[in-house]
Amino acid sequence: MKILFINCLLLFAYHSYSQNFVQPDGEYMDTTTNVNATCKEYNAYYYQGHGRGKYPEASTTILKEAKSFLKSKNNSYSDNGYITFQFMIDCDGKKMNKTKVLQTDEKYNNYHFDRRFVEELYTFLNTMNKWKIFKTNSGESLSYHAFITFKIKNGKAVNIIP
Amino acid sequence: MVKPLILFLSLLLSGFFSSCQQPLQKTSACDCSNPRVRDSLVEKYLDNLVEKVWYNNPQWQTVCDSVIAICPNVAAAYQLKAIPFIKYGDYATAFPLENKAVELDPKQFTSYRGFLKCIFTKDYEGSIIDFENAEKLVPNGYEMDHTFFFYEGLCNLELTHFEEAEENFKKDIYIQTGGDSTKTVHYNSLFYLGVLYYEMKNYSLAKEYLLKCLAIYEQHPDANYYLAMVYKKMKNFNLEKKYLAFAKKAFEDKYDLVEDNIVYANYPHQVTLYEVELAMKEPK
Repeated sequence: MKILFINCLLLFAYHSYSQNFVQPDGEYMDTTTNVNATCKEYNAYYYQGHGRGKYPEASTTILKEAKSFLKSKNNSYSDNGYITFQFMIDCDGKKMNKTKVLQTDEKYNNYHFDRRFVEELYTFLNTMNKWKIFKTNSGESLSYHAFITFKIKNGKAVNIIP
Repeated sequence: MVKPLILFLSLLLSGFFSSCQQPLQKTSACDCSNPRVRDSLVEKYLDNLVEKVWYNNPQWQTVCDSVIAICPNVAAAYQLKAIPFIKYGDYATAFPLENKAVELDPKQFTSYRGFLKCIFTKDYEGSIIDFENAEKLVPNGYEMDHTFFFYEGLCNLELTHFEEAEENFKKDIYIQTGGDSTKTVHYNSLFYLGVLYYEMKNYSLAKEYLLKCLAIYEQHPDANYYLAMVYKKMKNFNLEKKYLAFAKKAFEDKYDLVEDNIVYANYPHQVTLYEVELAMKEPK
């Protein structure tokens, strides 16, 4: 029982310094499985079809929206670097689960931001609902890989990639 | 998969180079210090790779890894290996590879890394440092169709270092024309000078350069949008409306800034149809 308790404690302690799910290939925010049986998967990327899958707003507009969202949370942070979320958009233009999170400092070294900050950005990401539906030339809808990176300076979002 | 390919490449190499006489001994068989050996690896395998294989195909990594295993000092192999990572936001994987490419061949890859920092990761301070170093290595050099000064100008524009940006863009234009005002300048050099003057609130110069840009490329959607914004500031609402309509039509007809990497990353100050439609709805 004691061992079980210590293991649980260790697991909790580890969890608080990592993201939700840690796999050998990286960290995930929500789940490590991603199944949408209605979508055909061709390993397509947002930049195919002349960048058809880029989010249809300017980076500055997304940034403005992100800043407003973060302001409403009223928390302050201090780190610098990049927080990237990689995910897929399904054939209905909806963001799917299995969101991978990558974090670096400003020199592109692996890094971990305050988990609450990452969660806030992830919550904002889930409010982005204008993703395009990707269709092949024959009109068939398919899912595609997309990502959003937040450039962070002194704990504030200062730019959005792509 | 990797080992057989290394063997395969080594066997092929043995037929081409006297310096790779013992193919089964892998790297020790090749004289990697010989630039001709390295250039031939690039020509024979990496150029071929770029032509025939999509960079998200696992074969892309395998070929880059194999070339690196044979000659770890082939800079282009690191740069190519990084491509799928930079285009999908994995900077912790991409940048050590870019740094290695720069370390091995600073003359070729310093400006490329500066370009990535400017357009992809928006690390404007870091990009300026790379382009300043690149300028020393390759004076008046070009990267992705533009002079180094063009990218420095973009970085300084985004950092709101307007005077420096103006100087950069003027140098960019001077390199293109050699001081001959009859020569054609890249439309995006003119576009960004227009945007710079718009940000500097010098609306008459902003108008002048955006019109020059549109004289070369009239469907340039962003130039039409910013010209509309200039007319808005000048309180000429009819022309604002006119150029917003042009910008909307250009976006609907799939025109864009026309830059090689625009499908991967948004360029500084780039707008979309969304911002145009938003401006059209604004009360006058």
